[in-house]
Amino acid sequence: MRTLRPRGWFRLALAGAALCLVPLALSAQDGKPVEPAQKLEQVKTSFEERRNAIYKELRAAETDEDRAGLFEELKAIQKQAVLDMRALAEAAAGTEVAAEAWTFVLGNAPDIGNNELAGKAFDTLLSQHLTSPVWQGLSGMFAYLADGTLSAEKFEKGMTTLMEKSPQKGVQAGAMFALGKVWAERADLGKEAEGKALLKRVLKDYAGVKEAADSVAEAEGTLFALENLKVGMPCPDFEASDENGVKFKLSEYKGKVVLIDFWGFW
Amino acid sequence: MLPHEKALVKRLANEPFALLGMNTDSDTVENLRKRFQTEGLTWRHAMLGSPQKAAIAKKWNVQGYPTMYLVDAKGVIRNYWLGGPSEEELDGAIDKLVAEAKAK
Repeated sequence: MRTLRPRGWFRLALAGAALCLVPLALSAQDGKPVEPAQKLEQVKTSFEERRNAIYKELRAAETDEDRAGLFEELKAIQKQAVLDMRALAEAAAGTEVAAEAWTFVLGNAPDIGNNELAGKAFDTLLSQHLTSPVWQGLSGMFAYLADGTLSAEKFEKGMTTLMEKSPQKGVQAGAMFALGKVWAERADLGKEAEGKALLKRVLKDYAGVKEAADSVAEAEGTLFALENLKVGMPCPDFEASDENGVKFKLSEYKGKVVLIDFWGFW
Repeated sequence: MLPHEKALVKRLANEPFALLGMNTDSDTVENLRKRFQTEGLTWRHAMLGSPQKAAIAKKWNVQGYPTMYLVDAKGVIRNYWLGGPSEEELDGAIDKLVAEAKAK
């Protein structure tokens, strides 16, 4: 009934959707699409179909046990798809098909615990495909690469390269936001002030830039959460309209313990 | 989560506690109101609209669903969960704050 959506899923879906926007038809001899492009499409489509079927079952699952079983199943098909994509990327090295295959590996390998392979995908994309359109689809998930997928050092280096050298404004902004968010939120890195400064720079440098709109909105939200929504802070008031159309404010509940639950049936 | 929330609301009906749903479905408010009724979701819901539209969810930088904030009787944020806590953890955190509120 209720969907448990680890945040990574959103990102996967986003990366997947963006991947679809990149034209697959590569220029090839005889004007025919090359074989690797078809293989890429095949692996991707079959993985997505099976994954969506599992998502559907997850939504209907009643017990934690059922859910755990489904997550295992998801992992198994994800693992196979990652291996297929890696083989494809290596066979088609240097081409746009390889860029897309590595993108898939980067988005999915962390979920199956293979951070080393995700790191390899990231390095290859940076060194061989810096100008590829695939980065635009990845830009929404940059911050998650710091959750153990890449070392702090590699993450910083990669984001800096993208900020400075990517030809795409959306990618530059995504990298700046991700580095800012990670620095600002992770006290252990000791760069909180620099992180906030980067988030503010996203707002300033990319205001009104269409391809960077998501990063700008996220930078704004991240700054708001950092400054107003941490444990120990007074909860910001809000006004909303309820299911009977009655307007109310959170502050009306003073004197009561309130559990605020963001949810949806979907 | 919903069955546990129903139990929670019932168990704490006479305590200084409120569950506030921040609903992010895109359906009409009228349809959702009926569905809450059918499914026995008796607590109040702020109707925010779909996640893409939900202004409060955007402003609050909600990163995934469910996201929960537990606020004490003085209005201070005491817990935050992304993805939802276990039933035991949630119950423990709420009971602690309810006891605090009643001790005043």
